[in-house]
Amino acid sequence: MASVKRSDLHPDVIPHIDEVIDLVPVAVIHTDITGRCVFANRIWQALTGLSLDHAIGFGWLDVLLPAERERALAYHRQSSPHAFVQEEFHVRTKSGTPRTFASSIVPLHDADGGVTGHLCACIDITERQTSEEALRSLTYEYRERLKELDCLYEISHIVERAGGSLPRILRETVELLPKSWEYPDITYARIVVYDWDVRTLNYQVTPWRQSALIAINEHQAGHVEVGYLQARPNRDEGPFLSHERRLIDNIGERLGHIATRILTAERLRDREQELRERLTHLSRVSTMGEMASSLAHELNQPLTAVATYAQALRRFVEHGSIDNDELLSILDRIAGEALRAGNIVHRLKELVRRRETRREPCDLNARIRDVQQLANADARLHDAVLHMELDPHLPPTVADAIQIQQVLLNLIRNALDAMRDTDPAEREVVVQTSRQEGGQLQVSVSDRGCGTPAEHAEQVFQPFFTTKESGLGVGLSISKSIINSHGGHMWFSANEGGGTTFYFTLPPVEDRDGIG
Amino acid sequence: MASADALVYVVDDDPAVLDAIRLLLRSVGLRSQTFESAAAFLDAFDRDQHGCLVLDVRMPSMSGIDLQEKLQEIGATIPIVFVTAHGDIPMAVQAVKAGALDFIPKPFRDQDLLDRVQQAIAIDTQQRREQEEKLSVSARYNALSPREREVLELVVAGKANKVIAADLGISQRTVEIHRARVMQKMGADSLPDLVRLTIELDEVTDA
Repeated sequence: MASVKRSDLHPDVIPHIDEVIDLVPVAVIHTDITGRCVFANRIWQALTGLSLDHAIGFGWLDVLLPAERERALAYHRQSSPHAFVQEEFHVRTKSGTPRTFASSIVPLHDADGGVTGHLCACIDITERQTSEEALRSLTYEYRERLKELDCLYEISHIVERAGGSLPRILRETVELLPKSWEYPDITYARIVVYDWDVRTLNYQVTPWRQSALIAINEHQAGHVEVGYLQARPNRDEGPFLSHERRLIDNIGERLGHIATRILTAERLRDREQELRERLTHLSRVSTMGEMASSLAHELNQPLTAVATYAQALRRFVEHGSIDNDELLSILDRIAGEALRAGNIVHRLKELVRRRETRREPCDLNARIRDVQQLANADARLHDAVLHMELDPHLPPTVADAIQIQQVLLNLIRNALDAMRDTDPAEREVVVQTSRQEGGQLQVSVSDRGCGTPAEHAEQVFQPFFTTKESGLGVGLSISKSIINSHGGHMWFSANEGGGTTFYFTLPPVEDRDGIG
Repeated sequence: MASADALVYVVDDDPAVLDAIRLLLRSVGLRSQTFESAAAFLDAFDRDQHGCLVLDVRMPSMSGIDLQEKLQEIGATIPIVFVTAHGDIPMAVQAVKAGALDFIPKPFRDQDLLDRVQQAIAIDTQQRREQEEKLSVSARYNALSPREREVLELVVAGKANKVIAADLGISQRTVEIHRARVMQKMGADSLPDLVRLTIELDEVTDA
């Protein structure tokens, strides 16, 4: 806005200047060189709430805050014809509302350049100012909110990455927290959940800290804590911003949910694992129960041998008709048979005992020979023969030896059962081990039985499917799940000459990394 | 009671049990021959050998029961003592019904087994003697002339000499001579004795 020269105005206008400014659509006040108001237009009157009578003279200064009156008056008394001022003034209207005016103060001068007074045009910028402020604070809010969201987003990212490991989630989250606070460089953090206690490296106890509870299943399980190493100006809660309180509460709540979910899932998994182990054990015990008579028979053999040897020996000794060497040899045979009986009992006990799953390096052939004795007992009861064709160059695998024996025993017993109607001279089960291309260890159990009808093919691995009169019908389904849990596969196929072959594979030791 | 030439065959699929039984038999001076399978026994079995068979009921491929059946098929009369595990009693009972001497549950008292074995050998001795006798009866019968055989048939049928003479169209005197020859050749002391021998004869020819 340029200064208004009287000469610029139409000569007719000058005497009527106040009528003119009355028409201007902004608030305008006209002062003389001493700063006295000579006129204030209607808009000015409306904006300030002051009447013209009140404004005239020095009354107009009443709208200004006392601290600003001096400054305003000074502008209005300036004698320089070129002074042009743009200033903001804090105004209090008659009704008492504080407002801000952006004012332009322009000198009026006569033809000689002598300043005769000033016009001051005012715009009420209160609303604009408020909205600017609001925008500024909104931007700030937004930025902080972004920080907060970013923090929560990263936590969900950590959760996703950590694959259900709560300690890892806590560790990574605690490292994440400082940068979400106003002074990251002096911020430390700590998270405690049950026995887990994770802290940033710079952690120490200072007076400037805030914390939030972590609840698991609605019970307090720990807390999250954030603090500053040095004092900072007081904000909403000590040196902390209100949104930081909100954030830490939010993190505490979030961690509580995550921990609840993970621990519940872990408990469920543990429970499921326990149930599976119990069922596996139950199935073993039930198998042993079904095998009771063949096992009794198997035990009876060495006992018979021991008793008979001892009785024969007694007769020889009685008659003095035996030399020392033969006597010793017979005693050795007696001891050997007693140990054989003990061995059967031992194997039986191993299979019946309830125990946790154990993965150990294991020689598959040796495990097969372990069950051979028990399986033989069953084979004899079925008037069948068991043949072992074991690959002597089989590499070791990592497995639960008892569970693998359980699988073998199951398959052999199924094979024997399938041959009930086979001519006794042909009843034969062949157990074969081999190393497949790709390194997998393969075991097959082959019978010459009735075969597996096509309509049962889908069901044989289902729990409680059975064609037998006795037994739980869980043997094959448990066997398959045992093999799967070892990282192997189980399937079956029909033999060309009749009968069925069941196969399972196990990975060799070197492949076992990363298999749960 | 046991004859010196008696042999005890033992069949059991468990080598230790087999060995122990062999030793027990030896302790009382009994000869034995042991086999781990029914098939191996059948290969070596000599039906003219005097003795008995100690047999395990339950064996793979061919069970004791199967072997017993097989022996009966080939007409071997060797007495069988079954040894059996506890669970096999029903099978053992079936074996006894089929003609086995007895069964002994494992593990057994030495005396129980030895008694049964001795008994089995005695039965074998008896059976063989009877067998021999039967064989000699048929040999004697074969030595009769056709006419003498005709007379024998009619005598055993209970016909009087006079009736026989009429039937055959010869004189009563001739019948008397034939009859005396028959009695002498067959080694019969009396008419009932002759009847008994003839029954044995029927058994031999039926067998």
